[in-house]
Amino acid sequence: MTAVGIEGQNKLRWTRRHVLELNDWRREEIEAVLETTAAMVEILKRPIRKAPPLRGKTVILFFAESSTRTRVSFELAAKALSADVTNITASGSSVEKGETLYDTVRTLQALGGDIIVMRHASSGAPYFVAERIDAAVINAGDGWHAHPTQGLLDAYTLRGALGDLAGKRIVIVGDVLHSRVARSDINALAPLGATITLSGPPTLIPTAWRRGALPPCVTYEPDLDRALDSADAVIALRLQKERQEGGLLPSLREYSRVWGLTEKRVSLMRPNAPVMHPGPMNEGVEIDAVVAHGARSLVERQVTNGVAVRMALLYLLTGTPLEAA
Amino acid sequence: MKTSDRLRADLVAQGLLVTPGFIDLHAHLREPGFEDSETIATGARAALRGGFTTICAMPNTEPAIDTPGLVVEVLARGAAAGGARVLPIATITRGRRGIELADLVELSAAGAVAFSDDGSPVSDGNLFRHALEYARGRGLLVIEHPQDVALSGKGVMNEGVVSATLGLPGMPSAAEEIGVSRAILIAGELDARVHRALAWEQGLQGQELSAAPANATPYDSNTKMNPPLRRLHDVRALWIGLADGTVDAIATDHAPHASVRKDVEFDQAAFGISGLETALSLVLGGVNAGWCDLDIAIRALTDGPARVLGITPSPDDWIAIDVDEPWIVSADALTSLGKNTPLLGLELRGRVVQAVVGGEVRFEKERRGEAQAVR
Repeated sequence: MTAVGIEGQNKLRWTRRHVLELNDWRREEIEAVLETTAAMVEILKRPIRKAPPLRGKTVILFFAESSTRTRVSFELAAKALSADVTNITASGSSVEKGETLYDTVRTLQALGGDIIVMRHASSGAPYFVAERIDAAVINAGDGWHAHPTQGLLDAYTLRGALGDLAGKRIVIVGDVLHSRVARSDINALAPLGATITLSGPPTLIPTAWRRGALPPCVTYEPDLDRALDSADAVIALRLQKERQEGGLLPSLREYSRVWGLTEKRVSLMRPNAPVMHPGPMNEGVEIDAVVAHGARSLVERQVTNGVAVRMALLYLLTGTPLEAA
Repeated sequence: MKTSDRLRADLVAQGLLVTPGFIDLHAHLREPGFEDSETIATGARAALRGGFTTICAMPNTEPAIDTPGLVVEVLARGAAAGGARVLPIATITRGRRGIELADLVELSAAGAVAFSDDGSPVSDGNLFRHALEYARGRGLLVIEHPQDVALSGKGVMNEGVVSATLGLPGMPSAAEEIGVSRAILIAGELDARVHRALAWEQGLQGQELSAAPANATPYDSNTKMNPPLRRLHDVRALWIGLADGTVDAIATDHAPHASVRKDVEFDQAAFGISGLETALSLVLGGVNAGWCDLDIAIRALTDGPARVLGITPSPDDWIAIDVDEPWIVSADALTSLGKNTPLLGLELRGRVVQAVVGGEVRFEKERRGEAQAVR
């Protein structure tokens, strides 16, 4: 169990051992990460983008589902803090040879890393690992369930663009049902005072939510134009093309007509309201290229901030005081 | 007075509840094919500890019980086990494939007490109708697994707020309700006998689960079963149905699994929980809570299932229960090879002290009082 004081106004004792999801996070914890992230952004602006807090620590990146962006982001974050980083990926390891997650956990335990960063196709897999290992576990995305670092980096990016998020209304549009990003965004933004409007095809919204049993501070508006009307920001979700085959959508063309972010649609929001996307984008499906690369787009800033947020979490979990290191 | 009668009177005098042995319409004994999860012998012994002196073995083994030879083999292994009586259920369709009927009459002649493709429904409505028609002509019992498999899809739990939060694919309750409705409509048309393989145990377990520690992991694969644990008001409805006689039998759906099939990611884990040894305590829990009278609950474990099967239980099959004895559910406390129950770690009340099958004491528990008396 780690516990450190955090610089800044929020003198919070950090007591979390793992970062598995944000569902049970309090506002002060999210604030602590965002403040630490700001310090990390400063480190990344230095000519030599490297600080020593994680020297001697080993970070194992265990990606049982393919990912380039998130894995590289974590790798850069760990290296910027001077950690030793090693990779276990699905294609290069025994996961594909039929090794069970249980076996992999035993191996990870025996290898003895300090932090396991893991991505897995099964919702809840990080819980399975965290319950059986001494190392700290950071969830880098599990099934449809959670992607906490994405939620935190989206909160950081939105706060950078909009300031205080209290009373701000953020639209999340797309395949919410299958989206760990949507779930973690909700859990990161709601405690900061934002309200969230979900939009998207009814078949891609969890049934219980569509019927009104929504999380606090969240509403559902199937009409995207109405959802965007005077909103403060929009986050478009990636649409997996196989959803059409599952009978959830008539066609990608109809999807992009009804729920795609066009220039005309985004202008329904408040002036200069930003547009975000977790990437990789299907341009022309959930977002038009002019929007994706337009003046409102924060997509690249999300990527940059992602490294800083991940540095902040690695740092907080290892509990090394930043100044003493 | 027979020895057995004296023994019973003696146990009653000690304050124990003496009742006819319980009959379970629905247990998975996994043999042949999955002996790491359970065997006929371990299941039959676990049954006695749970108060069941007769259990019906589901045929979704490997191979499935779809030939008379396999029925005879299950009977023989059951008889050799020295535990509860084991009555084989055979498949409705050959290989449980849902394509053609198994030889129902020959299977019945070999000793099959009922027919079920449990684990999956007979999805082809026409074939299911034919199965009921054919069975009815010979007075055979069909036990259906009611589920619209297209609707339940790849779901791994009840569809609702929890599945939305956990990011797990849900099974809508309509999947079961349609399966049940279909069976009732077709059976009604034919005036046939069909028993809805209701997940009774699940409802009961659900009640206990509501009292489970709040810090338990949200992804405990020991809660994964099919049909899934539903909502609390479904559980209440089951108790109300039991109390008013709508539900006439309680079955366990005992579904033991070796840890290799449960100690995995939630969506990869096998469906089902071990239930033979916890059912009694869960029923007593509901009785103690005032949801149902004790005698109604006991009848649903004895006369009710006997009537469904059309059998007359032996008067020499009986059990004695200490209804107050506390015990903690643990892997060691369970005789079943299946340690997969969400009740692990919970304290329950009510234990079987003695189980008698055909006049023979086949299980006798070491008792607190006696242990002290010896000292």
